[in-house]
Amino acid sequence: MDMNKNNNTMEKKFEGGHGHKAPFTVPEDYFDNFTDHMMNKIQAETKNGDVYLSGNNDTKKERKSSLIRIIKPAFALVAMVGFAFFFVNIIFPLVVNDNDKIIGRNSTTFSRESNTITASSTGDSFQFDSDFNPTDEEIADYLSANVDDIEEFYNDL
Amino acid sequence: MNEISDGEIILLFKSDKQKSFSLLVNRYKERLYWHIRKILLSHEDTDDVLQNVFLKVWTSLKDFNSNSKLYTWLYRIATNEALNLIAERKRKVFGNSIEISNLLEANLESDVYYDGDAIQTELQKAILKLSEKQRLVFNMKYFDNMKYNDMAEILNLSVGTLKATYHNAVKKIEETLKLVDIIN
Repeated sequence: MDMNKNNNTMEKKFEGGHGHKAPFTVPEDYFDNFTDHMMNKIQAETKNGDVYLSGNNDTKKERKSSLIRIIKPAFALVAMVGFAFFFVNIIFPLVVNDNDKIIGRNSTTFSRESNTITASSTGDSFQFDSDFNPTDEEIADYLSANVDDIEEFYNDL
Repeated sequence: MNEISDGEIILLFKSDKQKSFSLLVNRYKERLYWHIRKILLSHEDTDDVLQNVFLKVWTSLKDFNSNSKLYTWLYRIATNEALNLIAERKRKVFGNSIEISNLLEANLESDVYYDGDAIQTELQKAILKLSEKQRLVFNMKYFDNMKYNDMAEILNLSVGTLKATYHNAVKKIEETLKLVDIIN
């Protein structure tokens, strides 16, 4: 009811003017030329391959296009699975082997099982035995036994 | 001479695309033009959108479901295309609905193919203050006197919603026009 009253108010206000006609115009002969213009545009765009006309070639083109649209995701999936397979079976083992080689090389220098460290920088071979645990007395004896060498060294200076 | 029906135009499209489409354009160009024009206001924008609408119709008419009306299907495409253009403009001006309505108002005032008097201009400005949905519903009912059932099919809204939307739109327009002393 209220809605009709509102509409009537508006209609009364505009009845002397345009009424329900929208106040817009178009260029002269716009509608007369529109159909021809539209058909020409469709033909032009058909030549560019944007719009498909009827006929065998165009139908084929359309079918081909939709076939590609369907197949494309499947190709992408196959490519992804292939890459994953390649990575897991070829690349990953190579990387792991390289790491093993690095660990293996280090293990020849720093052996956990052996308690000895071998150094060969001077060409002499020194062997440090971790089981060797001299007492204070043994150390004192060793130092006193070699005291002459130290004295000789200072005398030469 | 008997006029060819919409159904016959669709059937003809299978055998003679050019002739069928020419008939379709002739029949609907004006109605679709005015529908789009009331959404976009500017002739230039309307012309671009109308051509895009017919290009889309050309490519998808073969898939048209004959259970629906050709008329509502065409209006739906036209409405979507016009709203897409507004959405594109919104993105370009990074604006909200107020800014886009200002842009449309500027389009209206600068359009050489607008011949509204002061009252008509105030009405158009008041329509621009409505929400997008209210604007569509108001234009389709007030200017085109379209049936609610057809509007429901085009806009994908219920008849009840459309009636309520139209009622609110009219109230809002009246309030706006009262402010500028167009109505008491």
